[in-house]
Formats: sequence, C-alpha cells, structure tokens
Amino acid sequence: MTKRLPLFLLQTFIVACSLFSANAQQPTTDVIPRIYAKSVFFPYPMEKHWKSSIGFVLTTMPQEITEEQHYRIPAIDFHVLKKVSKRWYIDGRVNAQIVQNMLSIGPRWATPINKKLSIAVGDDIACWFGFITTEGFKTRGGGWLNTPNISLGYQFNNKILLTIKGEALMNLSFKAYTGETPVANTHRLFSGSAFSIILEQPLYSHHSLTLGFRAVYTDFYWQTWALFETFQRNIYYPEVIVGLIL
Amino acid sequence: MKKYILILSCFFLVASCTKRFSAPLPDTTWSAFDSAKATPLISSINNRLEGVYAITNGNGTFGDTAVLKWSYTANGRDTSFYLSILCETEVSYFICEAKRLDTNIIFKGYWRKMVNTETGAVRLTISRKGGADKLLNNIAFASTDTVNIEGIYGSGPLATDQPLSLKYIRPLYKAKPLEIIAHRGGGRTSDLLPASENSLEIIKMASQFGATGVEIDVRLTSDGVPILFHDKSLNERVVQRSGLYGDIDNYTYQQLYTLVRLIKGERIPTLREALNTIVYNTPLQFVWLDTKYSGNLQPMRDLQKEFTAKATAIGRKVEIVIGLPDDDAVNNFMALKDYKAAASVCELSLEDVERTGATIWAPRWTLGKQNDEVDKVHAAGKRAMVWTLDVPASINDFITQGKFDGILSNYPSVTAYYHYVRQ
Repeated sequence: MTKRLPLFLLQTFIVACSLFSANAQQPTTDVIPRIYAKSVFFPYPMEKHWKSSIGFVLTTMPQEITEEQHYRIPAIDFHVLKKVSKRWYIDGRVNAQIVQNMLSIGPRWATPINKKLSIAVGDDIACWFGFITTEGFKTRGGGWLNTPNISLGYQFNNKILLTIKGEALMNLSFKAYTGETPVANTHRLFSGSAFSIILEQPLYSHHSLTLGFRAVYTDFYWQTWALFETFQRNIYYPEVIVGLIL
Repeated sequence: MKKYILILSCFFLVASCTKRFSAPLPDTTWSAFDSAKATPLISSINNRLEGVYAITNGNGTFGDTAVLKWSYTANGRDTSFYLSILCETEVSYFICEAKRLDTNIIFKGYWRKMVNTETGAVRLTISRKGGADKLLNNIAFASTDTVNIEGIYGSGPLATDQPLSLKYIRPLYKAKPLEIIAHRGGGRTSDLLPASENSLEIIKMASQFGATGVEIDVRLTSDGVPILFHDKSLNERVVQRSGLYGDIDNYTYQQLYTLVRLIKGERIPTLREALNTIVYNTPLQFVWLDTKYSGNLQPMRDLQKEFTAKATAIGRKVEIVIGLPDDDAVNNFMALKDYKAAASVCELSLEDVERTGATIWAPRWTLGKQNDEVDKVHAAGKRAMVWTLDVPASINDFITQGKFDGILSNYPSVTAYYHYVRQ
C-alpha cells in the first residue's frame, strides 16, 4: 500500500517540474496581477473575500463494484472559498446526495508563477456520512478522508482558465453499521490518488461555468460504502464536474 | 503552446487510463517435483495431514495460523488431490499438489491473496523427521509427535526464496457442520481467479478454495436450455467480444455455444454440464441454483431430480436446491406439480418459507445474525443460510456468534478458515 503515495508524488512532481521549467526564465513577482475571470478551482490568490459555485458531480461506478448495473450517481456540489490573506484562502465543499453526503474543508496557498501560470498547494480534510434503509433494515456509515493536493493553473487569456490538480487520497477512518452491528471499522492511509482537469470560463452576465473531469484511483471510494466491497486495489472512478460560479 | 499541449497530453495519458488488473498463476515449475523419482502419494495420508497449523515462518505475510484441507478433482479413474492452505490475512490461500520423493513428502503450488492481486509460487517439504516417515508408512502418531512443514515461497515473478514453516497444532473443528458455499460456482470475474465465474472450470476449483458447495446462476436460452450465466445481457464484464449483444435469453443455446466465450475463454455451460461436473468430478455436496429467469421452472426441477438420483447411485449425497429470490420465482415454483417435494432455498420472509415448503431460509447478511429467527427455522426442522457475506470480520462474527447452517461467500477460503479454526 505504501507504494502508491510515492507514485502519486512522482507523477505530480514530474508535471509540476515540466510546467515550472518551461517558464523558469520568468521570475515570480510580489505584485499579484489581477485576473478578471471568475474561478473556484483555478489556483490563484483571491481578490474578493468570498467566492462560491453550485453545480453537480457525476461519478460513474466501476464494473468491478456494480457489475452489470451502470450507476452514475449525481451529487449536488456546493463550493465556497474564503480569503484569509494575500496568498492564503480556505476551500470548502459540500457534496450532497441526501442519503450520503460529504463535507470538506482545507487551506490553500496560491501564487502566480508568471503571467500565465500559477500554482496552489493545500490539504483538505473531509467528513462523509450516509444512511440507507434496505428491506426495512437501517445501514449507516461514515468516515474521514484527508487529501493533500497540488493545483497548477494556466490562463489561456483573461477569460479561460485551465486547472490541473493532483490529490493523494488518505482514508483516515471508515465505519459502517447494519442496525447497531458494526460491519466495518478500518482505515486505508494511502488509498490512492486523483487527477483533475478543469476549465473555467464566463457563461452569462457575471456568472462563469466550471467544466471538469476527475479521474479517481482508489481502493475505497466513499460513495460505495454501502456495497461493503473488499477489494484492496486502486479501482478507477471517473467523475464529471459541472458548476455555475455565482 | 505546443509544449503545454504535449505536457497535458502526457499527464492525462499517465493519469486517466483504466488499469486492467490481473493475478496470473505463477510459474510453479520445480524440477525435483516433476522428476521421475517423485511418485504420487497414496490418498490415505490425506486425512492425517488435515488440521490447524501454526505458521512459524511467513506469518508476517499470511498470519499466525493456517487450515490445511484436502480436496480433489476426479476425471474418470484419474483423481488429482490438492492440499489447500487457508489463511486469514488478506484472504490468502495456497493450492498445492503433493508427491513422495524418497522419504519426504513434497508440495508445489501457488498462493494468492483474494483482496488484491498478490500471488506467487510455493514449494514445501515434510521431511522424514518432520512426520513424513509416519505418514508414508501409516504409523500412528504419538501424543508428542507433530507434523512440520518447511519450505519457501516467492512473490510474483520474484525468486521463490522466502521461508515458510508450518507446525501442526490441532485437528479441524468438526463439532457443528457449516455449509461453505462459493458464489457463482467458485468466485466472481472481478476476483481475478484462474477461471471465469459460472464456468465448469471454476466449479472444479471451488473445493480447493475450501467450499463444500456452490451457488450457480441459472438462465434459460431462447430454446429453453438452462445455462449458467449471471447477467441479464451479454456484456464485456463476463464474456469476450463476440458481436452478440443484448439479453442472453434472445439467443439459442447453439448460438451461444458457437459464438460466445466467457472472459477466460470457456464456453457457457449448460446446467446439465454443471451438475454432471459437480456430481462426478468434485467432492461438492451442496448446490444452490439461483433462479435468474422468470418462467417455467420445470427444466430446473427435472435436472434437480435427475442429478440427485445420479449422485445417490454412485454413493454420494449431493443436495441440489432451487433458489427462490423473489415473488415471481415463488409463483413459478409453486406452479410445479411436485413443488412440495422439491428442495428449495427461499430468500424472502419466514412466512414465504412456510408457504413454499422451502427447506432452507436464506436472508441477506446485512439483515444481521437474526438468531431468534434462525432458532424458529431450526425448530421447524429447516436450515438457514446467509448470503453474500464477504467482509472477513463479519464472516467470523456470523460463524462464532451466529447460528446459520451455511454461508454463501465470494471468499470461501476465509469462511473455511474461520470455521475450521474454531475450538
């Protein structure tokens, strides 16, 4: 299991170095240039005190887990950012499916690298919980997830923002009960990794659109808690992210 | 810009690919085992080797205790015996063949962890002093005697050089029998086993995983032939690409036989072939026919009667039960003229068990151990089995704290482990 974190770090490091070295001749400045496009994923120091978006995340469940059924589970996605200082802000998200929900929060440090490129690093802590009644029998589960992450941003112009994000997935705890009987109480420290590509651009009026794709590779994905799967291998969960930046 | 596009392309090439997992059988070649000097063992020593063993070397990988259990596959007059070593850690097991070499007993085979893809080769030896002398010469063990098994194992393609030692500590638990039922004939496609789910090949392997019975999925072809297939439609989860798509019951048996192969290349078996394999080629004693179609159950009932009689005729007791997973299956079952004489397993309520005359009640495991309900079933002279239980800690809990007579699992090896290590 410990082999997975170095792999994630290596991949992220290679990408970061490639992008950074491509622009190393342009020094970082203390004066942060303004960007006019709205964003919630783009790694850039915040100008406003608050930013938010609302949308949905659509995850396709893999065949290893759902077999012949093809589940695509949409979750309402509410995303809010709060400026803390010049380069620091707090990133919070709520993914809600009513029967199972996740809340995450974490700090970001962001800085521009040059006129086009910027970078952010952060660490999110997430809490998820779910309640499902099957054949009159109550099942519940919950857990904590930690995701250290790094984002690289590229401005195509002042309107279109591209973000590439890498995350390490660390399931700090996972508990599930059928009735009052515990059926799972475990953790998987290096569960896997996730890679995202996200585009943000103006849509109408003062609102912008977020379109993203997130490739999750993990041996435990929180939305599958009620299936009690036992695989300890990194299964692929593709996610589509759609949001309206308010 | 080209530079960025290239970098982005590389990033997503690396990051966005679905990995195809596999756990291929390792190379188990061992010249000493394969030499002419090594001769088959007489089967009488098999029972004497079975037991609970302490793992004194290799316990970091496989746990502190193992269950040793024999199984066989019969092919006419040829019978191949297999020693299974069943462990708790990450649902690991070994499957070995055995031979006599001079005064030693030697084993070669492979190990696998079911929850991931780890596997490797293994070579074991019982030396003359380690117990082979008494086993081979059928000499009774003194109370102070024990059996010591020494050997080495490898990991993946790496050299087979890690030490493994087992020491006999006590006999297998046999006070209360438990039906250990392997799901889909032995295991699912997603478990990356050497054979496809619901194939004849996986049924032959089921007892090597510690199973005493199998659950198999029954559907009807368009021309009324009962076959083994789980999914409603032909899809790439279970079959190789063939150009045929859609519901499997749209196709005749001949079309499926000619054009479709399961994911590991086997043909889709008929229920007749499956029952024939179970009765004549395996030591399996319990068959759960999971009814996956809606319609006349008479073809299943006819085969149930035929193969129960065939097993009896060769001195075997094989219990074949018709699964009743929903109201539709119940209605079709009760439409049979002799349904009261047909052994069945009802997954619905206790009232439905009573109404259908089912011999077994089988609730979903997430409904809990339900000891009071199981007591009622036992009081009515019936049995209770639970499905499909894969979480190892819960399997142990159901075995030690529950009262069920059988457990259906994708992990029969760890079910067998928890059952046989009881004291």
